[in-house]
Amino acid sequence: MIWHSYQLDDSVLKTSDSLVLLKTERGLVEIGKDGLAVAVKLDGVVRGYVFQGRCKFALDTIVETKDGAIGKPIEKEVKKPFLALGSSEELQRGLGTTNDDDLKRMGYENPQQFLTEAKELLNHFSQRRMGYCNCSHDSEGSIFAFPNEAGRVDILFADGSKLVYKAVGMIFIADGNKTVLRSPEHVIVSDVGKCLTIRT
Amino acid sequence: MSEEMKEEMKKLKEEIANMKTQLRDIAEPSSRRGRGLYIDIGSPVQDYVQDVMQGVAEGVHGELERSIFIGPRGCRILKTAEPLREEVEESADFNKVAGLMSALGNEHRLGILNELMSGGKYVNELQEKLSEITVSTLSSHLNVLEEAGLVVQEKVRGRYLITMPGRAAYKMAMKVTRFLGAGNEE
Repeated sequence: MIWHSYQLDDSVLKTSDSLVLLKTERGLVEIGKDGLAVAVKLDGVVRGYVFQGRCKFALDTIVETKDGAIGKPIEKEVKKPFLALGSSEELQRGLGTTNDDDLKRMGYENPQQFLTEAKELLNHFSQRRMGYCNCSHDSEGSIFAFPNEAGRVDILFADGSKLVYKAVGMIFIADGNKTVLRSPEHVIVSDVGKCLTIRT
Repeated sequence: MSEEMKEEMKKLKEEIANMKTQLRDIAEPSSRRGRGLYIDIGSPVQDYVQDVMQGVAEGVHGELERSIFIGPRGCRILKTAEPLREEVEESADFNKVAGLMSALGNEHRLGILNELMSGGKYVNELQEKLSEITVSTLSSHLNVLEEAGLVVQEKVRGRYLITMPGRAAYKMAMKVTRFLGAGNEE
């Protein structure tokens, strides 16, 4: 499976109600009602969407150690288009047709403008993933790509209690109670009752 | 016998007399000079040894002053006391310190920290433990602690966790209180 073979559909949809795209112990991604969406297909099968709307993104990048908690939670509203790959069947039921008013509310004159933005994001994501050409998301997990202030994308992969988040200046990996946090200040490896902290 | 020889003999006799005195001191050490061996090794060497011993004593005394804190409950080795004191003097932001102390300065907030010392808790769990205060008061106290960086709230699950500085501040408060309590008892 090669990332850059993903293709965008040509019809713009909208969220008919708020949709929870991810909800785990540590992470939450939710898009509000009337958000725009375009399907991302692989071999004609919908494998995800590029969304834009009132998106709430929360992630508890906190490591609990016997000396106290380290790290801060991330909570932000994503206003730019973002990519969500993963279980898409449930999402399809929560999407409906869009109209000009929905597009104008998001600042687009026509569907093509949104599709162009979505394609840019997908290309950006695909190009950055070229080094992982054999990487796939055949598991039940979800992959998210959020544009950041540095002009790059923050990547979130979540599969049950397993989670990987890569953003500017930080990497957070969690598998149940096992966590690794790399921040500008620390590298922390934590397991139940054990913790290794390296100050950088 | 020449005068020179006579002089030499006299010196030798004096030396023999000295040696006899020293031997007597060795044989009877406690009679005149207390316990231990006494040998006259000459004043320059004695002065040197005394200087060295004084230097060592001053060094040890200075080191003890820097490294050992003597409190009402005995003494504790605090090897880093000196560097820490310098660091605090150089970088102390008293507004920040006062803010931290202010966040700690409430019995309910200390109670919250005490509950969180055993692990993360949801608001309702804290409410059960601190039933004497209302939910809104509890929420207000949690905000103060969070702003001071002593606790952190998970955004997804909503639990409150005590942070590393929070744990250190709580322990410090407890230690100082115990210290003052012990001082008052005396």
